[in-house]
Amino acid sequence: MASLDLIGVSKSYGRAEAVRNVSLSVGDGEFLVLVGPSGCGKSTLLNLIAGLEHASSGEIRIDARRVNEVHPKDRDIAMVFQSYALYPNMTVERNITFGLRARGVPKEARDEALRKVATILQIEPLLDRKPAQLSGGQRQRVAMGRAMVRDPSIFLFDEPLSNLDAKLRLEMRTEIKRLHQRLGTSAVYVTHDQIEAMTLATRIAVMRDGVLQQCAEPHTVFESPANMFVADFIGSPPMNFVPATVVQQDGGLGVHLARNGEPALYVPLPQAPGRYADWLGREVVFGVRPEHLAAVRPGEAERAVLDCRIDVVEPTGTDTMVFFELGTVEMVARIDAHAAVRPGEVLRLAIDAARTSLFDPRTGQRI
Amino acid sequence: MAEAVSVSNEGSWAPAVARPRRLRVGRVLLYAVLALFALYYLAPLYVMVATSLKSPEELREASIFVLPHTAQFDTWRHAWSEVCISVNCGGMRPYFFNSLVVVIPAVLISTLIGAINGYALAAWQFPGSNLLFGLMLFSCFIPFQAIILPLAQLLGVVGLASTGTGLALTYIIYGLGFTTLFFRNFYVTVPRELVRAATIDGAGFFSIFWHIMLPISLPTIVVTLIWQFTQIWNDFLFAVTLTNGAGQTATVALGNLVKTSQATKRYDVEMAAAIITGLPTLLVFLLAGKYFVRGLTAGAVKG
Repeated sequence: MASLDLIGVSKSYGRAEAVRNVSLSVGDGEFLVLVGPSGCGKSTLLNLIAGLEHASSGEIRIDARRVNEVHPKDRDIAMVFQSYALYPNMTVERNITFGLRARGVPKEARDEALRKVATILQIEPLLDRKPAQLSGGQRQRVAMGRAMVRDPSIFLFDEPLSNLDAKLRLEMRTEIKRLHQRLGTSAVYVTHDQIEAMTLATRIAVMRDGVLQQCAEPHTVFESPANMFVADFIGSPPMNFVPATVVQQDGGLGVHLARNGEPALYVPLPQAPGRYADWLGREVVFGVRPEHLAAVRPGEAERAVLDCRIDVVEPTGTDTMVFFELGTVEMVARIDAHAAVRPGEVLRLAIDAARTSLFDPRTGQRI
Repeated sequence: MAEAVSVSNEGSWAPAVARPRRLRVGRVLLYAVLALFALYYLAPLYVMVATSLKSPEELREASIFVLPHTAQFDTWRHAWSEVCISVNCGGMRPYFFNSLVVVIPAVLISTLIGAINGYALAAWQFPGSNLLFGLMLFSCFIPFQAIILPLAQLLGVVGLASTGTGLALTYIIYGLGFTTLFFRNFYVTVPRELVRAATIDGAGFFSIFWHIMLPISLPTIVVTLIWQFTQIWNDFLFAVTLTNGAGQTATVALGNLVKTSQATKRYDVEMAAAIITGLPTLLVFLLAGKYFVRGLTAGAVKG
């Protein structure tokens, strides 16, 4: 178990900068998920941590020791790859113990470690097989076993579930979470799947174009995204963005949302922080998650309420997505699956004002 | 063929009657052409074997395509151990072993070095590695004749003129272009993550090569071995230039056998000697031919 610190780490290939000045730290036993769209530099960052690539500048520390110049095998890390990267010519047993053999671990210790890992992952019956004779999920387990057997201080995962079908992906996701809870080893996990990020992480680091956008607990990233990119990337469907103006009304702060052919809709922001006052009378972007729009039940206290004409209804089983237009933007709300709504109908939606966000329209940063 | 036609006739969905008929005519034509080509290619081999088994009298009297009356296997023994080549009357045997002594190490060493080269060029790409690979490929296209004089001079300077070692060394270096090409092209299809995983596991450059890369390239190894064996065994130009006298290889000895003047021209002995000379490559193809086809197409379709 160990901590990991990145201090101003950059990596460029010729003129292209893959990672720009990233600083973050992973505490002992933490599960950090690096998430972002393709080409955002998250895999490069993982390779820098593993030592498979060399940082152009900055410092990487494992347990407060600078490891920039340390060979991957001496960094006390283990990595699980997207393609599993099992050695095709070796049996499962050989695959798992290859690292121990390469390090000259004696046979008894190897067997002991193998038995332990095989029991945890329930792969004892597979030990004599070759990778080609295994299913995707079994290969995944063997790849995990190969990483676990050396009892490393940090696990590195490079999109380990991307090659699995949807059902197996869910199972293995839970499995990884269970393993982490059991072993308590620090981990850095790269994925482009924001749901994987939300479910696995103790902290999420969102990246874009090589730049770290936000690094915080999943709850914070979801509720208080640092900018419009994070708000859009995390959450499915993504956050709704509406052009708005900050106004003062009835002694409180709120926003006016522009509407087509109708007076602007006033949304009071009762718990608005004081800094919103700086933006009084100015244009902002009002952000609200689909989850924070709910159908108004009769007799409920009137808050900020949207009357919307339903455009499309998408039931998912657990809940129902309702698409509608507000002014010039398309909005989506996630409402109760039992609500009987049909396209063309008018639905009254209440905005959970305390859980909304305001963004600077020029920079996209959170206000 | 007949089977395929009858099957398509049985199905109720089969199209009109005319189609299977046309199919049958096409097939017959196809097989006829194929059989003709097979005959064309096998004819020289047949003539060689038949001629080697005939007596000199029979050879004079009958056409070369006629089957021998009685098989004279004694001719083969004569060609193998008794016939006079230049001034040595020990048959093809010593030259055959000369060939083996040169060819086997040359094939093994050039294949091994090619594998290491290909592995280094594919899995550990460095600035200029593609240029280096291009230059190595270039060696495949340099004609033997162009370098034969400087090569002979060089071998003379280093004291390897007219030795099996010098000849083997020449074959090894000349083979590296092809062997590197074969292995490099296989190893670039191996996922990079495999080498990365092994690196993190603690294996070094050669450990990864021995334990992972070399074992998974078995089809490529077989292809390269066949290719190199055929090329080197069949070589005449280097062998005739760089060796002399008792150190000559089988192909050179075969040439000398034909040139050696005898009282009567013994076509049967010459054919037997030619078959002996060609046998090793024929055997290699028969034993490992299926790997050859498999290896050449390996990587085309992921298996």
